[in-house]
Amino acid sequence: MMPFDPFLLLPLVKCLLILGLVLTVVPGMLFVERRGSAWMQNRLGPNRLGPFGLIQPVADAIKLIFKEDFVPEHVNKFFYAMAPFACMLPSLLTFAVIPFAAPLVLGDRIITFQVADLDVGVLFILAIVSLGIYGIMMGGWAANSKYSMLGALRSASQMISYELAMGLSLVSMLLIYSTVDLGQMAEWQGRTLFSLGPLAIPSWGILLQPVAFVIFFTSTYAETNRLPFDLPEGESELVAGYHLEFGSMKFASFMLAEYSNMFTASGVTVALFFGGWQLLPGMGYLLDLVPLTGLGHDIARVAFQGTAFMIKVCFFMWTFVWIRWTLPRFRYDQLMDLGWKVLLPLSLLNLFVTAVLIYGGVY
Amino acid sequence: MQVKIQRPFFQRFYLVEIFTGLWITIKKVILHRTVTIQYPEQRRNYSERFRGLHYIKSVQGVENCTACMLCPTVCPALCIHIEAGEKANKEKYPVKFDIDLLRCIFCGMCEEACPEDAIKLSNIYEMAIPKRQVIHKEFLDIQRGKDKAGHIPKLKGKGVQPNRVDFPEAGLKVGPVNPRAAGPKESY
Repeated sequence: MMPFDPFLLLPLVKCLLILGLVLTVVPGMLFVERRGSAWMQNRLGPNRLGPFGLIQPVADAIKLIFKEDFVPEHVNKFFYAMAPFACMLPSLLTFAVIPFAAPLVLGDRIITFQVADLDVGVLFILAIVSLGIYGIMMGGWAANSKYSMLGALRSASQMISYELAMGLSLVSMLLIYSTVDLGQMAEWQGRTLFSLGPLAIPSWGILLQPVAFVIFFTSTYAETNRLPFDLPEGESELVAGYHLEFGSMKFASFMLAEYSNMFTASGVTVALFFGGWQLLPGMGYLLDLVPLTGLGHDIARVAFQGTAFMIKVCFFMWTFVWIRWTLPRFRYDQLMDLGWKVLLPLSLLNLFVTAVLIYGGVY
Repeated sequence: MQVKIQRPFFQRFYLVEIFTGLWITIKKVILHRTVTIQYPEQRRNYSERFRGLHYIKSVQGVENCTACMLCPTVCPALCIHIEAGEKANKEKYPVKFDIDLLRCIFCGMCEEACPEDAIKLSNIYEMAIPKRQVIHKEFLDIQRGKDKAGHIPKLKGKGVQPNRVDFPEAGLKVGPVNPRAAGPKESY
């Protein structure tokens, strides 16, 4: 009998860690969203429960869990029950391929800091993200209400339109990195683009491809159904859109999906355009100050890289809130115009120019 | 008719305007200022001329009211009901002084009409009751400390007492005046 290898448990540990991280970020994000929006509007926000109202998400969660799981008469019971999970699953899945630190060499083993070190990397993300639409469609259809139906329809057309621009902007990134593996992409971005005295400017994706970044960033907002593209749930015209007829934990699952989608979108944005786990300026000096050698230093490096990654992700999470409470919602035809008439040609042009530049040896 | 608005170049280019907007909102977060009054803990300082809950002024334990019936006469909402009685020294006094607070419009005309400076309006504004009954029925009983029905909710707890400038004479307990910790300085 073979001796038990503790490394076999590693994927499980990583799974639980990432899942725990995503599920912890969601209530934190809810809190930040409520307080942040309040502050932007000269309000206070929830401040009664605990210090600074920090217990508020817990109270919300308890309320949602213990609420009656009411199922309306007119719904398609099977799809009605399935939709929240179909919505939540892809959003939780996507984070599996995002690396949050460089691989750690432990003897003859290499520990990667992502749940699944897939060769398809970015393509996996694109594939899974487009699955999320099924949950929304299912929810809108099963609820059998015209508001939900309209919301789901809008969501479907919106997500399909913006996936094109998003995919094309990604292709130009793939041309530059010449890999689809997210770990290798993050490593690639550690190169020095040019030096300004002692300051080495890293070749992060945003510096190489600002146009692709703008297109990708805009598309992620459309993909996650956040303002200014939250037409699927536009309160003023559709009440709540596709999750109108859902209550208690089913509704919470939709919210969970939305917020974990935001987390994943931030993670992908960071991995592709902001150097992934590459250290932030100044952190390299701090890491050199750590009085450790060998494995200890490597572990410190992993901790630093994880922190750098999380700081970047947190910034983009905040940007989601920030933009939501700044910009008004797009009108539906404006949304389609932007997707098809601006972003798609722009991303095609960007792709063409990038290809020409690579052929000319600029990159 | 179609109106064509000519916007400056940078306004037509959407991104610049987005950043302008983002700057406005982040400024609000950095310089976080609210005008919220956290009600039970903080209270708004109303003017001394604010017309709130009535009381009968008393000097050294003797109520000024002589039951002259001028206030029920002048009251446009017909909410004051007085039952007059006679003291041992033949002086007229109100046995019952009922004010139907649901009818009262807090116009302050009773205060103006009163020749004895007896009925006055304080700046207590918390008069909510759980039931729709004729509240403040035993108006004087409350003031005389015999409010058995407890029609007027007792103000309890720390910092709950509102600012009662002239209430000591009314014979009610006066809590510590709680100046508002935040919010605009001027009174309303």
